[in-house]
Amino acid sequence: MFRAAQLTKRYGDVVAVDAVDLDVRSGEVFGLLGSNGAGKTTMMKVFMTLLRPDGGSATVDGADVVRDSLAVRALLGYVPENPSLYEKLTGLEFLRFLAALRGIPKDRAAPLIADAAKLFRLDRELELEMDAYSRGMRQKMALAAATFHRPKGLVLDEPTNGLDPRFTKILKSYLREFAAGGGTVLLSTHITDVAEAVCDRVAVVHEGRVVALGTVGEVEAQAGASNLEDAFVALVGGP
Amino acid sequence: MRAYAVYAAEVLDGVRAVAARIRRQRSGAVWFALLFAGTVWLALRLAEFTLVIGLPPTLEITPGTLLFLAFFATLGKGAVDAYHRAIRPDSLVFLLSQPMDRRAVALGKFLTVLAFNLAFLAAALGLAVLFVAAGMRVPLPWEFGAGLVLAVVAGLASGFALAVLGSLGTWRRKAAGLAAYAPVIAAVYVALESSDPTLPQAFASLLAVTPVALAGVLATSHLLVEAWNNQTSGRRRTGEPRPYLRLRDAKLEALVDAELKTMVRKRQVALSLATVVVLGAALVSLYVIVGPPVGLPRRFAGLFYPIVVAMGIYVAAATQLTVPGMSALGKELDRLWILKSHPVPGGTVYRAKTAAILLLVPAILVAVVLPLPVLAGFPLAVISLLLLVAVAASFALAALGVYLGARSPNFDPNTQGLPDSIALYNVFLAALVLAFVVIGVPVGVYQFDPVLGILAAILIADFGALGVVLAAEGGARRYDRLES
Repeated sequence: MFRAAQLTKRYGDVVAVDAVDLDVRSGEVFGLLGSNGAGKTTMMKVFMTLLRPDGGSATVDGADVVRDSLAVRALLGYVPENPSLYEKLTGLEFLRFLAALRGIPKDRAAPLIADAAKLFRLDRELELEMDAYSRGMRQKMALAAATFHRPKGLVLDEPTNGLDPRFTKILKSYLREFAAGGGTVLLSTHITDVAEAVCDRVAVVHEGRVVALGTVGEVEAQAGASNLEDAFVALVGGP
Repeated sequence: MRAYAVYAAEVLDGVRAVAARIRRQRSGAVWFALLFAGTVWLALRLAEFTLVIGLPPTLEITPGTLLFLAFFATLGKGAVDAYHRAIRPDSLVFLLSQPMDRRAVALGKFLTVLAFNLAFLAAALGLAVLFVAAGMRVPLPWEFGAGLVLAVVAGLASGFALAVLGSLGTWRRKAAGLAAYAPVIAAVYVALESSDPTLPQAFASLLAVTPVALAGVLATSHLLVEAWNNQTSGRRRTGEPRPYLRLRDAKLEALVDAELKTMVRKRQVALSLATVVVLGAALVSLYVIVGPPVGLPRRFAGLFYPIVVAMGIYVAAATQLTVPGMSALGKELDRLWILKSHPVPGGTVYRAKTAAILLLVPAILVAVVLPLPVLAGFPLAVISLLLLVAVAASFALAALGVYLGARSPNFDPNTQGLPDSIALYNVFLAALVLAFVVIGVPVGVYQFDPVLGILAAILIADFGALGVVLAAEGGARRYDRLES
């Protein structure tokens, strides 16, 4: 589903993603683990067509992120690390706006929006201008916006940011169900518990390179550690 | 001391943002310096010329009038600056949560507004002194220079206070606050304009009013939290959401609707409508006060009011079409990911942004262009010509803003996408030249042959529309290449 070949992205002299090869299969939850500034967000933005690669290639379900950017966006739902929203639109107006941008007719959009609002516990907030949303509500709205149209893939940058433990649990089960239904999730996190709980495979990213890749058990074995947290620290260095 | 800390951080942040933009566009800074000096020179030349040929006897422009105009213009600028810098920013929460008096926060923010605006005034006055020293025959008494500084300080302080009062939670509180402050503005008007003071008297009046205006900043500081809360909080909207406009293309309709709802709910539309109505009222007032331009040479007399209307068209189009066009992309700031991660081409995004801006054109025609010519009984052909050149200028100036805003979007959160002062100044002058050509050519042709003049105006309006299409397409290409 998500494929990168020698993917490279630079910001001036800084190489944010350095010749990365990656193959995320359909129906799996794939986690990118890394410290701040490791290159996870840049990689995800390239898959979302928000950044153009400087070298190599990236495809989503066979569609090239540069040549077929609109097709790629139609396949995916995205939650950025700090989702800013249209603060003067209500939640309902915002979701209808996004449905229109995706070409979903109003009669088909209504039940999809209602389902997403129920799933993400946003029913009462839909009539509220998003200026009034708390951090957690914004995150839930961004998750609803990324998923309501039933995409083939999800790109989630730190999706548990701002969520309370109860909702984090709901999100974890949703992601497992989404993958079980054939969807593919590419998520980044620096919380190893989340990766252990939901990811089929993980890649540890450090200074723009993938330094370990496999199931959680395989990565632990590669690092010679007994849990993912210790494996992560051993792979990227630190105390 | 704490106010100074706020001021120092704000100025440092602002100066670095401007420096970064200058580094990106060095030619813009050079143009700014040249155009700024040129404007000061032109203003002095105009004053010199006016002193020689005189004005119509009914049109009395005294030094007090000029000082009041400076006060009134900076009042508007101060209100806009205060709104973006002191009332609207989310980052204000960091300052409001510090163990410090709210007066220090307000004062620090106000000092920042003051510093950036006084820097322009200092440059203008310095250049004026140089030009006068070089031989221009314009009297520049010290009372006028000092009065100008006081008028700007009082104007900015009044604008700051009015921005806070106008942002309060309920209409009743807004009205009460604005009514409480109105006597200060009335006092400035009486002291500078209606009492026809001498220059020393005007200076003395400003010396008395400025501390009152500054006290207004401190007095409204305890309302800053309420204003900030009100401006950054949302309200509940029950019922079925409906689009403001029905369009055949559903994506375009959704994009235009999101733009319009945001503009309406942020009160930008109300502010724009108020601005064009006030501008139209000012033109009508000028006609009522001055009457027919009897004192002017005959060849100028017939052109006097058409030129006044043309100036109104320029001001309305530059402020209400060019500036929003420039901020069309920049105002997306951190939420650009929404549009860029959805399957919607840049062409549709830019058509929607341009359409939302152009919706104000009918208001400009009705409020600014029509009232004075109708009141003055202009012939139908002249009214038609003015309407056509207004449409042409609106298209051309909107196209200019859309093109420049896509070419160099400003993603600075302090200005919410609005261009910085240097860019704004350059653009206003570029818009002036463009408006002069777009309005001047058909009006010039009309002098020789009215039919040809009308046809020229239609042709230029067509070119203006083409400019809008090309600017939107160019903007779309830039948008598609933009990395988020």
